[in-house]
Amino acid sequence: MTQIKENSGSWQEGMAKSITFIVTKDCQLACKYCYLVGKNEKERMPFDIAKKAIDYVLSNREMFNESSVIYDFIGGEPFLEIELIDKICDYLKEQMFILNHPWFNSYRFNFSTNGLLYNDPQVQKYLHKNRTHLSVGITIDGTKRKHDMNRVYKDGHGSYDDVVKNIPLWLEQFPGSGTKVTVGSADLPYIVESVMHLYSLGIKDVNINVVFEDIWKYGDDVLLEDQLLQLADIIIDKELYKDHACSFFSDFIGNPQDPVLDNQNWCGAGKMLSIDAEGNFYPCTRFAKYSLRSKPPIIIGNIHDGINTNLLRPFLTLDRCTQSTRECIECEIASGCAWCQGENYDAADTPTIFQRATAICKMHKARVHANNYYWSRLSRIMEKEELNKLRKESLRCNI
Amino acid sequence: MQYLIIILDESANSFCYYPNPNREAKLINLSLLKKAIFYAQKNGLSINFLLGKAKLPKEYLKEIDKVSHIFIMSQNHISDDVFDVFVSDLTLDDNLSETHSNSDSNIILRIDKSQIAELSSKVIALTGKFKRINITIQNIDLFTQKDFDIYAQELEKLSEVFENKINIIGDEECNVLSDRIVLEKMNNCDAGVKHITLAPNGKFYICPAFYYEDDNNSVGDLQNGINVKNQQLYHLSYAPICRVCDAYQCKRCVWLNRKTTLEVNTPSHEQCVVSHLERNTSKKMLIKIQKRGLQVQANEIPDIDYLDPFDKVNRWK
Repeated sequence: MTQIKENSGSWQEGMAKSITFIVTKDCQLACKYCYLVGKNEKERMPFDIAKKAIDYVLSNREMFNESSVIYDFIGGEPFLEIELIDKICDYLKEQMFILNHPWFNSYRFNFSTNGLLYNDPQVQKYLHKNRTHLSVGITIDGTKRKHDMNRVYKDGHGSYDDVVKNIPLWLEQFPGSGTKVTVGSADLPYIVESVMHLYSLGIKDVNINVVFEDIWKYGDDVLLEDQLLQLADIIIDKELYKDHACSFFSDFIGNPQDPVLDNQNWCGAGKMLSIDAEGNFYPCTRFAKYSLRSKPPIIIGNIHDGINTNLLRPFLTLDRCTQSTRECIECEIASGCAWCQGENYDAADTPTIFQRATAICKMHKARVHANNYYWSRLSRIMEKEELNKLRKESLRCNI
Repeated sequence: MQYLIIILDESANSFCYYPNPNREAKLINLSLLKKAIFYAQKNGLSINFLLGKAKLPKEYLKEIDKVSHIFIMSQNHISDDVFDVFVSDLTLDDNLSETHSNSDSNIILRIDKSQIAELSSKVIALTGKFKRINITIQNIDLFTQKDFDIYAQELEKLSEVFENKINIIGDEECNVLSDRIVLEKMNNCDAGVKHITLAPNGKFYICPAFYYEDDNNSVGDLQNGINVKNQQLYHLSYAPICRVCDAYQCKRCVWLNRKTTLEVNTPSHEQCVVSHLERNTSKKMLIKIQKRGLQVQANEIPDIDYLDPFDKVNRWK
């Protein structure tokens, strides 16, 4: 059987509770596609706020009853606050131990970083100290020209050179790690070269997606499809599919979805908990003020009063069909068409999470076309391999 | 859309879950009223008029008389000029035994959660005086377990009175007890679906609560018509919790929903539990009535093991 590498899932595959500390809203970069519209240098989480949040979470086992936990640290750029993070993690470990909390035996600290501070001695010290409980992803968008189109410093110059030098150390410390690539309108022509470049850097797992926001121009779907068709050919011709993954290609996308059996929501907003510097709780970071362009934040509680469970009810009962248009529900290639609950809310005609944004509709269709082509070619190769194998066996029998 | 609610006077008292606006009397402009009535006529809508403190001038009454309507007003403002009255805003502070009696009318009794321990004794004082008693509890969203317990006890006491008064369902109704017995499907308020409200400023609102909360909540005006964005969310089929629920008598108040959960299609835990306490008491009452040998045109109300249907539809539990 032909080996096909799939994208790695997250630790515990969505079964763990996700608790996010927004430790800072500052970042060295000002990425052009960043949805964090309210980044600033002022809002840094005080340790006391983190401590109270931890006390609340760990003392409410009934509400937080998952068997595992992922503590996410995000920003801005989380490594800007490595000292604070180290202190928070020490407190978490100490308290989980003291309380004999089941999470003490099943926790992860998770980071998505721009990678600029990865080799910083303080960051390295932290990584070494917590290495058995860490997941770290560095974002690098591909080739220098693609990366530097979007991932720029505040003065406008690209960050590629400063990130790429840290990739070898990262892959050495976290072998098999994947990177997350975001594609906007302007950098569509550079998808193929970028995925190939990332593979050449030793990153075998590329999680790549187009932005959910409504930025797409006429003809972008054609460009995307063209790029993905080229990418499909290269991955197949070079047999890269055996040990490299690219999330644009997946065998579960592009099928109709049953309104009853396939009615689950795409994302886990509401299942996760996000905490900001003021001690406010959010159903996901995307509902914090600094993430929203046009809507008020959805604050579901705070470290003093706890969670208002009434505000969680819409999130926990949300399903695919209730928020989708008739066209989406009846779409013949609906599976794999993703959405971000926060972007849905931000783009909705009224302040609701029940209106699905459809800005990526054409882009999804383009992806499905290329994906069908990819699997059509790949399955034929597998078919032939199977046939050859059978023929050989048959010949052996006849001899 | 089936009917239009027209707020004739800014000072109109609340007849529902929203708090009394406590505004000064100010009548809707007569020309606006004419346009509103014309709009209703063109669109085949009947009209509920909300009256306030101001006495209606003759020219207003003349216009109103042109269209099929009912009035909703506070008992303190009843005058001889108006008929077909729904009386609202009785509170437990009122002397209920001296309330105007009208066996053809409905009465709306707004009770604050702080007064629910007195509910049964006060409601009993109204029985026999009206065709129907509609109980609306204020501040449901602040109910605690203790309040749920008291409300359940009061419903029980009320049911003992009503089950003995009822020979044929429909003789005398009390919304929180008799509605569930006769209903076979949801009978919610349906603001935004079956009715819409016109405020004195000439703009449409989902219901009066949305107007009094913030007049920027408008969903159109007389000139441009009604434009409810995401209107599907006001329909039962777009309410994940309510569409699996059988507390058919629940008002499913979209204003309370938005206030408590930020979504018009999602009720709070408190609203669900209150409605289920009513449902379950109705079930017990129905069984007792049937045991008396009375023929009641009602389906059996099934046993359920929850008070909040959220427990059935929580997709992440």
